[in-house]
Amino acid sequence: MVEGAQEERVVLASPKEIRRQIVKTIARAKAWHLGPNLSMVEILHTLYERVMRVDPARPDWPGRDRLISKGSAAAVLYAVLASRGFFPAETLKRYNEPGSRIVPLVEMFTLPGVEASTASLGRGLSIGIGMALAGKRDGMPYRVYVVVGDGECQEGQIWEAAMLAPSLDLDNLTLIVDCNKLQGSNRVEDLIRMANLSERFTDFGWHAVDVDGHDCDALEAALKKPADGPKCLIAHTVKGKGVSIMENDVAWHYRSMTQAEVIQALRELR
Amino acid sequence: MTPQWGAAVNEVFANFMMELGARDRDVYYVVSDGNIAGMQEFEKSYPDRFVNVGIAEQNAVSMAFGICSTGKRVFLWNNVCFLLYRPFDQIRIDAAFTRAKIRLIGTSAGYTRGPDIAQASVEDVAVMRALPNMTVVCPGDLREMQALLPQIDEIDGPVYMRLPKDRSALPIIHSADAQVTLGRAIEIFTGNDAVVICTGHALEEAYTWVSGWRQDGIDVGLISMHTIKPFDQETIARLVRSSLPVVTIEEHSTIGGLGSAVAEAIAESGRGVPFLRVGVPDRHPHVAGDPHVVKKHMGMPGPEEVLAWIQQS
Repeated sequence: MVEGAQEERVVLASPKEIRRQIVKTIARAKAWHLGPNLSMVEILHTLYERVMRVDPARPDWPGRDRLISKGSAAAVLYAVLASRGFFPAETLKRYNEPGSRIVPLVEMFTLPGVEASTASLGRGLSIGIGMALAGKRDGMPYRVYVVVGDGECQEGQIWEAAMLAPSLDLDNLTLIVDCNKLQGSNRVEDLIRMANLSERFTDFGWHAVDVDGHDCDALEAALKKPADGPKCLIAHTVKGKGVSIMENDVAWHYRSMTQAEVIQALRELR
Repeated sequence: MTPQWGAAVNEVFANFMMELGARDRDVYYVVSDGNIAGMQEFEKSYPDRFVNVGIAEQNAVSMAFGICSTGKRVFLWNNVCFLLYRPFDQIRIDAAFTRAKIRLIGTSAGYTRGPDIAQASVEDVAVMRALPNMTVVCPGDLREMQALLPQIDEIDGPVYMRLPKDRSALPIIHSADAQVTLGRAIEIFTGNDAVVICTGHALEEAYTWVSGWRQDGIDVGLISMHTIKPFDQETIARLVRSSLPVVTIEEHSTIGGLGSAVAEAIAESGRGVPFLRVGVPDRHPHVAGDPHVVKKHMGMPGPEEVLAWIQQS
């Protein structure tokens, strides 16, 4: 056991409870990005409850596993980090509050446990490669996880990074694509034909696999499966998952909720 | 009077990196293909601290942040035009915002590699000095480069170093015992008729002009402003108090570079002095040739025009 790693099994708030927290956080802040937050709840929940070795008391512990999370989904990351004990859930009330440090996009220096600023899309995988490479060369046993959106894979930098990672033999790097099929303006497939993402990553030299991104057991199994190079999970998800009016509706990338919609969402997530 | 010439840019840098690599395991050297003259030895000696990411400048910068986040320092070496322009957002966020210890070492600044739009870099100082947390240095001779390299590596944040063409020899302007301190201008000549302030590789030309005038009995001072950020306001304030005409010389746009920084400092002093910016005018050259040809073609003032301006000021 590496010093500082958590040996006891951690139990986080359930995915449903995290969804309730996301809705409350975003409602209170009168913010948006409900769709991209709700789609990746099980991904982050599984990572922090079942897979990643972190120490909330020492967020900068050099041996920690690292997560570079999807930039447009801050509420879910912060809810999961709070649930994991990085800071009190009470802190989330300051999300996007005027004068608060907690901006509504994933950004360093906001809260402990946030590794990088990823809201300018397409950079997360490159950052993860840097962390994984340095860790490997230093003989550190940590792993690096990067979550990006499927729409985000339209950024050219993703493919610069995708080409490089297998060439560096980064067997300590895992990319998870939150494949929720929608982006800000449209269905992904209606803008850019991106079918068979797993085949594309396989062609680039990754160990890629398709997985149900709302099935924690399936995610856990895929995340824990050993591989001799970088791994890629295409996690198929539903944008806005858990709230009927938001599921698969492109509008909920940018829309804020009315009072009635907040109540309805929380009722469905009871 | 023209200066002597010393070691080439890539030679000085390679020596520095080899010496640093030997005593510090936390230093990485990252390149994106390009002219790797001088770096083969580092790659061979310290393969676990060298990465060539291929022709992918955006990836290089974000990756450098990832490496720095584990307690390292990363030297990124490339031509300025490739080093900064494509990955500007990555530099803005992954270097400047994060305060990562990324050292952006840019060669072939100005028109030293070529005046075509792909290779020229005459806006780099303007954009880099606008970034919070960024230190910007432009060594003008061998001593300045040799002295500033270890100093920028002490900085707890990102740095941009602007250099001329990688395989070109550096002039030797300062004496071997000259004090080169980051953030502090160097007064090479004190003058009573006017003062020339220059930065980066414009130093050689400025030195030649000013030395010639001084031999002719015209008492023009010369200041090397090798650090653009943090900017040496004190030196400018002292010049303004002397009320002498001030000329800035740089191989960079007149917008946003040394000329702008000096103009801002003069304006903020609340007093005025006669002021001339020699730099690249606000247009593209559309011409082939070395920097002298290009600058002439662009209508940039030469020594006769500058001297005429000083005499009229």
